[in-house]
Amino acid sequence: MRGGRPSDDGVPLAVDRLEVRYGARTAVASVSFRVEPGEIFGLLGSNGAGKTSTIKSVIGLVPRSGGSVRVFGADPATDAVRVRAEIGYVPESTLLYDALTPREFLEYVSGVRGAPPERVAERAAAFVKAFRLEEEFDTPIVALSNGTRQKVVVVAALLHEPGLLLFDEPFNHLDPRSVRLLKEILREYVVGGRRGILFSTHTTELAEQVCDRVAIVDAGRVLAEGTVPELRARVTGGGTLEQIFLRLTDEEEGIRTAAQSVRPGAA
Amino acid sequence: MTVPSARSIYRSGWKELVFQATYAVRSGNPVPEGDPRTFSRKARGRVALSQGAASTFLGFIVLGGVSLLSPTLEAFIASSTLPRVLYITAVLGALLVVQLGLLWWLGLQFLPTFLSSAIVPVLRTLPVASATVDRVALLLLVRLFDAPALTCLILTPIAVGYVLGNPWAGLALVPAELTVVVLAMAFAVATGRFFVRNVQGSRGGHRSTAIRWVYLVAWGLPAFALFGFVAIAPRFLTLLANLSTAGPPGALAFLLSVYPFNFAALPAVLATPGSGSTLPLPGGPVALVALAAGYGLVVAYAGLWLRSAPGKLAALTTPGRTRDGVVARVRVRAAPLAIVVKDFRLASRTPAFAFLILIPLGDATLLGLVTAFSPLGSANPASLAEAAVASAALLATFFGPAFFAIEVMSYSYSRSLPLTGRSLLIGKMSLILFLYGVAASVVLVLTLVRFFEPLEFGAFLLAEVPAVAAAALFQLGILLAVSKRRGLPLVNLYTGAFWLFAVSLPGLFVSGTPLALYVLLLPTGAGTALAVMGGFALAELAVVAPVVLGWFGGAAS
Repeated sequence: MRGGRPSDDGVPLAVDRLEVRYGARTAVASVSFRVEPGEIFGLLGSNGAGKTSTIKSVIGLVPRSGGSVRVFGADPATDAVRVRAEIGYVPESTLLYDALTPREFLEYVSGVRGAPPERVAERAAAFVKAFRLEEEFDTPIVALSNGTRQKVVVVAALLHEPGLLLFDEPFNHLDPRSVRLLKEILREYVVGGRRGILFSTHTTELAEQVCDRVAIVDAGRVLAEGTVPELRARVTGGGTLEQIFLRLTDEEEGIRTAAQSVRPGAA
Repeated sequence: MTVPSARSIYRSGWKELVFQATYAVRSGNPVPEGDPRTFSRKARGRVALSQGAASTFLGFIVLGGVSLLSPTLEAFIASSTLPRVLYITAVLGALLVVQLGLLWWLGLQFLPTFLSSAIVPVLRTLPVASATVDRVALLLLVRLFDAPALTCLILTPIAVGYVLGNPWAGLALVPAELTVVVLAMAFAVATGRFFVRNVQGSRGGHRSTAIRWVYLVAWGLPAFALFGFVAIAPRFLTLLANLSTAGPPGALAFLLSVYPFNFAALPAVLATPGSGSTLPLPGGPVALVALAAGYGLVVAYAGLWLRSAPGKLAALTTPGRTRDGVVARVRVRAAPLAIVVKDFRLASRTPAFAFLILIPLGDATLLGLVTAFSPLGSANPASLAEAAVASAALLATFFGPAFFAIEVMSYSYSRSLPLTGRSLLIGKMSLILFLYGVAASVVLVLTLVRFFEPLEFGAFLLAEVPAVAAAALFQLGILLAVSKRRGLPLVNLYTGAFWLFAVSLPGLFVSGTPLALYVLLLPTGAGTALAVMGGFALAELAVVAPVVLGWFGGAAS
């Protein structure tokens, strides 16, 4: 450590007893996990479980009320610029600069990140071709479909080859080809490197297919954490990740009752 | 199932519109911290405050304009050969133009929020009659305009009646004010349609960008005319005086036939007994009333059009234009330059921000043209340079901080980028300096036609640069500090009017002090005065820059 600045510990992300509150409401009560180098780590939870708040506090977009967060050893609360330089972020909702075209948006993001121009140019050309964005590359974002916007924000997150990807529901709006492509890209991204990915989803199939390890989050707490086989072993009856998730969150019976209560003609 | 009335839907829509106008969550601003149950109340408070600020500003303009009608000021300003009826007509006509321009401009500021709130598209999916949705859209638009519009409608006639000592003259101005309000709303909606169809979806690239700016200039011509009108007002009065004594026949009649001068002439005739027969218009007051009625019919048509136009506008979708064979080349720039380029690109597709660039430049062009091609009397190069630099510096200082509001768009995403406060401040300051430099250069280059003094003009322009930079850093530093503590203060220029004024006034003091020093020290010699002006400006920058840039350092923006 020099000048009070923490050194890089090589761990993409370490979250310890994180708490996030919005006024009187607690969004994250106590969440701990680590994303190791070369790993895709999934946060699986229902809507409102605290996944997005966790990701936002990792970037420093929302202040944490307790606990600690380290991105390659740096604290986003005190070293936000360094942390943000290490991160590629795909937010849950793609609210970008509507008045910019994808080209203009990527130029702005790359400029702010201070990315090497030649490398960025090469990678941008490759991504545009891979995601078939050529025709819409100079069309303002306001006129693009949700799926195309999602592709643009995914490219913006990957362009500068960050050490940590924070992907909040990244497959939203994507067509089947793009979903498959992104899965392959994510898998390739972490192979043999120092890089890690934190991936949040409420879709159990995606978590099962993409993640090396998963934390099941409910009401701002981690209920269980491990690989899918490890989680299966912890739950009576095993089954798919969806079944494991529902058993851990005690929702299996409740769902059946709730569905029956709203069927057409139900009292 | 009962269908809700337009008024009950409007009440819910207004809550959402006010929330979006204040917090701009749909434009990418993060949800603010604090108790969500208080957001709606706070948003209403912010909008009321901004409406109050805008109305107060408009009120000052009204009172300032109307005060020119007093015989004391008339004797000071106008030529003795200009008949009083024409003088009153000119002043009231100018005031109506200014009000029209300001209300229209205000409309452009909140139109993007009206469109992005998506209230109308959501209503279109519900079992609500199309006419009801149109009515809701109109009610929302009227509500956005109401306080400033009422200021014009009520305050102006009262003030005019009082200053002219003739209540009937004040009353005669009411139709004129009505036309101003209706036309401002119609222009705002019409320009909004133009914006969605031709500007918002325009592709990237140099050619498309150039065409877009041409569109924006053409579209903004009436607004430039407004500022230009203020800039050339004294010369306009001189022109009227000349026309009234030795002008070509029909020139004044033509002027009185142009909107809004015919409306302005009605109270003027009432306030100056006996002037009806001497009015330079065939048919006299009867022709005046007939002309006003003719324009009134046009405005009535605009009013009818407004019944459904806002609803249709809010449902428009931006046409996306694609192109094959695109080369996916991405050009990377340094962070401050990337911010400047991004702001220019956003402004080129966002009229509210385009106007921030075009108004100082348009005003500068007009001032330069007037200077180059009109009689100058006793003007000398130094006074022209001083006027040009002062005009450019003060306009850049007044409008510059509003560029901070651009950051609200996509703020929840852009805050995830490693952007330092220093880069943000330097980027925005560069933009303001660019505006100042181009605006001042335009006036000075045009002025060179009359006085070829490039060194003197250049020295003036450069001497003020540090003061404009210091003012920009000072203003932006305050806004950045506020945004770190309580969220972005300038979400848009409508709800952010309070903060815009709050930082503009000290900013104007910083950029205006060196200019004031120059004027004060001019009796000691132009060279000395200029040296002191430049030295003081440098001192301001030397104090402000280390404090503001050091304060934010390399911390995240």
